[in-house]
Amino acid sequence: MKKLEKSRTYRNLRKAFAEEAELAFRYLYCATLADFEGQEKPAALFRELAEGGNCSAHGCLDFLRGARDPDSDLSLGRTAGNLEALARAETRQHNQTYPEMAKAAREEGLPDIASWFDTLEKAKRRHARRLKELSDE
Amino acid sequence: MSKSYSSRDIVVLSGLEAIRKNPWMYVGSVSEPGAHQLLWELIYNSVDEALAGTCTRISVTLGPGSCRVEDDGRGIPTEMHPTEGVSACEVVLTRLHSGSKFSRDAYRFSAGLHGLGLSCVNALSERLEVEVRRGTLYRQEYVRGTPQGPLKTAGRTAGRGTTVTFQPDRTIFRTFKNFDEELCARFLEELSFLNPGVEFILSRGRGARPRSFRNRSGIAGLLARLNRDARPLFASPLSVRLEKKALSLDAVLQWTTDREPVIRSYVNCVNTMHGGTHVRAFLAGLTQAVNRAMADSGRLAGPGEAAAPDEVSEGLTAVIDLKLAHPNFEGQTKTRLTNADSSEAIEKAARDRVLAALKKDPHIAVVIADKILEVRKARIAARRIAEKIYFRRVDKKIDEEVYKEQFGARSKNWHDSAAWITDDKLLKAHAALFKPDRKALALDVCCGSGVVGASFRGRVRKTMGLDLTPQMVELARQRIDEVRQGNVYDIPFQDGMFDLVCTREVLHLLPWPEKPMSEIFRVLKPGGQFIVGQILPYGEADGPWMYRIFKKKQPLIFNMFQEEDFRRMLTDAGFTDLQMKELRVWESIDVWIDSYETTSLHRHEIRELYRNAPAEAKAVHPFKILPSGEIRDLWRWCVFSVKKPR
Repeated sequence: MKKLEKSRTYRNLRKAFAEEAELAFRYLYCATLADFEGQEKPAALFRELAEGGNCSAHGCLDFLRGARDPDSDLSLGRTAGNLEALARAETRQHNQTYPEMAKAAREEGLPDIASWFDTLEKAKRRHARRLKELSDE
Repeated sequence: MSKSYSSRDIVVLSGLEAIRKNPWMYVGSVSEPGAHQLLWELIYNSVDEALAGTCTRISVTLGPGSCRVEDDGRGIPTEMHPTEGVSACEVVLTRLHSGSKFSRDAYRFSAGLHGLGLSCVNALSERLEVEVRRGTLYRQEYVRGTPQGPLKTAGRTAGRGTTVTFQPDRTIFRTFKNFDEELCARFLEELSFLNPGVEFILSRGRGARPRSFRNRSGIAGLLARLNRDARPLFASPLSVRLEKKALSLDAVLQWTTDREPVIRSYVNCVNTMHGGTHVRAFLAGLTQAVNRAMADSGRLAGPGEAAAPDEVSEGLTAVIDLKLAHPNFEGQTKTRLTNADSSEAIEKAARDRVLAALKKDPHIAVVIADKILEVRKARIAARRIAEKIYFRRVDKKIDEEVYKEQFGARSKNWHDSAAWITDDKLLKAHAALFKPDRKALALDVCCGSGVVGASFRGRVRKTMGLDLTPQMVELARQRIDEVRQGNVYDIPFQDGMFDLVCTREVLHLLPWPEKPMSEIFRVLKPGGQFIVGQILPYGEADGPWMYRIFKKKQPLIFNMFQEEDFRRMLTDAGFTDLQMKELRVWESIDVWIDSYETTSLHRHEIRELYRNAPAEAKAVHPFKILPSGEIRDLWRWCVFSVKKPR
């Protein structure tokens, strides 16, 4: 049997995780919009499906937990390791992802969106700091 | 209604420890609001007596960290309970899910928590004393829910009623100090409108004069109170009434020239501040009635143009007073009703009664239709603002028209559109940063109505103003010596003209703030001072949350600066000698978002953002949601002073 990390299925699991997580948040967003329109039934359905999506996304992680993939840095195991891996993920967003996104938005003449990325960058800096503080304790 | 309210009416279900273990499950929180919730529960118990028609006077006396609630109702039953071996009164105070509201004989409608009220207050009180008057006077004392002896008789007494004196337990409500008198006053006043004829009295211990609230006008009086500062679109409010076996509905409504809807809803006198099924049903019925009336009078072109509930509710003030025999709420503090069984009847009543009123008085139908069409026009305009920004963005040119349109419209009630604009303390903080100089020439850029520039009066020789919007220029001329119309990207003054330039809460609205900064630098004399005030997040933690709120309020926001950004921007522009003064100013979010550029969807989303604020934002950024649903936010103002080097 092929190692999970090298398989197409591994990539598919990661994709499924990302899509389920994305969908769950879309449902919650749409539920607020439905509330505003007074659409009770769709709002309730959206919330219910978001909850289901949460379970589906975690189900993908159940499989991914067993894999070792240094490229993705998706460490799932004991809390000490998780703290470090999550701190690295937040640091990457803070050092790289959001500064690049903000720069691109400014170049494209979208200063308000650039400011949103700046704001997220700072939030990420704080997250990384908090995770690191806890893992150093 | 049964007058024989006796020990037989009390049903026992379980004990108290659970409440002390998880107090927030019962009273919503263990901070100030939780302690107040205890008081509300006691008052609701007395109100239940009033609803049963057996109580005419409820008085609340606030002491240091304690409170007494007294009513002239039937008095809690004092006989021995048939199965519990103690007095019925003790059962009510010590057993969870006990009380008469489980058997429906003693009360038709009730506000109190279902059998949690008194036992809950008792469990969470350091000390509690209960006094019952039923011909005989009875007394009993408790410490943290434990009786310090049985219920004892203490002589004869005239009249009937119950008095409960309690002190919230500080080991649970750690931050609680005293009951907020103003909050209590508003709570009792509201109840006085819902229970016409019943007198509510609030006093603050010995010596202080008690305040009495008694209204005969009922919810119509409350509506008039809510519309005190508004301009109604027609003279007498519409009313909707419905009386059924397990339901009684009384509602009044009126439209005003305002935009933000003010809808107060009560179920058995409890303020359902987050609405629920009854409010939704009411609005649905109202929307159908208005659409039918608009279609009949030819105001709507086609079926696809029907007004949505949020359009109909713009500028609506309504008081919905619903009494239900079996209300179901979300959460023990009862902020949202979840009963679906009464929706249909409420919707139908609202539709039929309002439609009948509109048919009877076609003039009202016409003004409501006009209002809705105006709302629709404003919404399209607001969307155009957002779109325009994006059409023009690439060439870095600012579309002046977008700003002129918005601030021109807002100039009509500029000073009422937010508290900070004329906040004296804030203005003085700007002025205090400038050392008086009788020869100085000052410039207020993007001056709006000129209040900031005017705050330097007496400290400078002359103040000039600059604003893009003709209406604002007119307003500023009442306060500032000389005002010109012009653009901050290209300030129409020579280099080195001013000793002082000031501005406030402007730079976040400008897509490329570095350019106006360099313009300000240019028109200052060497050694000249720039003073600028800005609302900033408390830190990294509340940034994303605040960004969303501010952007939804104002589509023209291009920057959510944080302190470090702002400092960097000032020093990058060449300024030195940076000083910063920080101030906290309470702002009413309800007033702030009732604005030309904020759509009703955005207002809804802003309220949701406050209700569901992320924990990390809440930890650093203080705000309050009052029992009435009003939101107050403590904004962090940073006033910076910098100098142009000599």
